Amino acid sequence: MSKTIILSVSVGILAGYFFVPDSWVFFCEYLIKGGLCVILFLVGLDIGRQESIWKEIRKVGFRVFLFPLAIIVGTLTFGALSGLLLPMTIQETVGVAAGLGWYSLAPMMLAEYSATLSATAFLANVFREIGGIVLVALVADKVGFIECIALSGSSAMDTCLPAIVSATNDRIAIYAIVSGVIVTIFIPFLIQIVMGF
Amino acid sequence: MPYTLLLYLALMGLGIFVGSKKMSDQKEYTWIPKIQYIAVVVLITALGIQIGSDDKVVSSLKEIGVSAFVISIFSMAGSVICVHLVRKWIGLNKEGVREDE
Repeated sequence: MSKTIILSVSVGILAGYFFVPDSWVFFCEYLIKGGLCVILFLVGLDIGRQESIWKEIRKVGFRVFLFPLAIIVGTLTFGALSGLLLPMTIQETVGVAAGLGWYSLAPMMLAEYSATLSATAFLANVFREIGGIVLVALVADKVGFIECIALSGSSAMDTCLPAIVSATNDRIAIYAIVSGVIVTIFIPFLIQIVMGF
Repeated sequence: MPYTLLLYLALMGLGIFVGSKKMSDQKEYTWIPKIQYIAVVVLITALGIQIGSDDKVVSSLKEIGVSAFVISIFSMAGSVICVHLVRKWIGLNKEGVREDE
């Protein structure tokens, strides 16, 4: 999937730079919105059909909810810290970080603030998903198993799940899925709250 | 903007509702990842076209890349640290198991 993303965005950037006339670019807006609507509905289907999640949650107990909360708090506070280093406002870096790895939603929601911010959100959240796969073995080995779900944020429940399970064990899958689901549901609200209504 | 947010939330909510009522946990729905894949490719390519056609973005692509990298590293570090503190606080060992379990 990571390869597909990198290939698609590269083809898109080159096409946008060299071939696609500016008068066509506004069609992209519809493609992005339409694509996003399809993805959101399918993500919902996937969350809704997993009955066993709710049973597993009861087995593991309330502590399973503490981890997504910790992921959100850690992402936003450190996102704010990164604003001190970069030529961006803290609101902008926290807004980008609040994408929590959801690289299709975050740039869409930030597009109306600026094209630059939207592009930053896209890249940062793609990096987060790639980091969630590449760094997982290191974190499992040096820090701990549950910490692995923190790397990828929202994609712990889907694209990064195989990497997480193979670096840890099956037990961690339930933490990964629950955390991914909760983080995913929070992302649209978080971005909106950070950027202001 | 809140209208777009409402649309997104409504679609996700509708998906959760339909998924929980009409779909099974056990069955594999191979069409879901397939359609998702196509939608992601279309969306990301279109996003790329928008990025590529915006001269301001293209001219600052290097700075955008650096900022994005720094933000993603900070977000990952912050999340790992917070999850680590919570894990210690509730008394789980490195493999996520409570010592008395």
